[in-house]
Amino acid sequence: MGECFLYGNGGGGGLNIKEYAISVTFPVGSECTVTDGVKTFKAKTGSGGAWIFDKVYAATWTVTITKGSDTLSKAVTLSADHKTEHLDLAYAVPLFVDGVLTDAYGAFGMNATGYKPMSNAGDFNGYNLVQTITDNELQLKLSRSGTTKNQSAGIMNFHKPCDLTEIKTISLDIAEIPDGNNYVRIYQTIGNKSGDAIAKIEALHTELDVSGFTGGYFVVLTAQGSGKTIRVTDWRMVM
Amino acid sequence: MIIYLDSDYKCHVTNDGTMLPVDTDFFDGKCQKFIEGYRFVPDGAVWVRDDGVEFHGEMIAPWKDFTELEQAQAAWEHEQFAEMQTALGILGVSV
Repeated sequence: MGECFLYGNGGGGGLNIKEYAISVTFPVGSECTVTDGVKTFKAKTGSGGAWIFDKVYAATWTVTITKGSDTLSKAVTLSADHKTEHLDLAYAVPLFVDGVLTDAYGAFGMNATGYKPMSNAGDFNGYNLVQTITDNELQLKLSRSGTTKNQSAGIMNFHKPCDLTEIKTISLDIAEIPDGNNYVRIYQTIGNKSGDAIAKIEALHTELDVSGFTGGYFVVLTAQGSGKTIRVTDWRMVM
Repeated sequence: MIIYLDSDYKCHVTNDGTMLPVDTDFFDGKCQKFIEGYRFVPDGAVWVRDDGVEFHGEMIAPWKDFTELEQAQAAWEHEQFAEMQTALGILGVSV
């Protein structure tokens, strides 16, 4: 039995049964439209981030949300066998946004075991990651703790992999450009040689194209230099 | 190793005469199909994705489905191992 949407008419007028419908949730303040190239429907302004398009019919529809420079489109195909669809749309998945570090991917740290040697970068034993959030900045500092190692570099990552299936870009904003070689990286397995994708941090804004990935990967910052602090102001995965 | 970049910053293992050579250790031990599934935006260069997003070098990321590249790499490594075993067999070395 297929789904249907029920609408009360109010005032005892009974129910309308809509066979075809696309329901969408989206960030408040966005414009939301659906179009099949022939008909276009638009969510009412001020709808509060949710709308049901109930005048759609069997066709392939493009649902688009727009807010400022942010935009996102998804295709939905309705047919006699698939008459309703619900979409939860968001422009980005926050990692560190508005002073809040997500806990969706586990605690942030050096890596799952605390320290991890890298095959091409010496030995990280003896290095700690000091993490503080101050004035909406995530401050990540590599700190040396009592051993005599000559390689000072660290891998800083969430302890669980992030699902990159719907993600096209990793976006990082920092407060100042750190010296040395520092990167945003994607790792399938922490500790492999270079990571599976890298973007060097050489400006206040860095973006890494991850549209080639599907599934779970570690999203990582790597920093070189004992005592190095990276001041993150915004870090997100953009769809 | 030396790789070669076309005008879209896609990687190649041979130069058709128009490509930019780049020396990198990112692809050490990787097969041709794996390497040629990547894009390498060198330091100072900018690549614009088809949705208009700009990426500044240095950036190295797959433009093909990474799962497909991994499978090609695994098959190549398996083939290399088999060839090595055969060669050792010819030399009379058991593994």
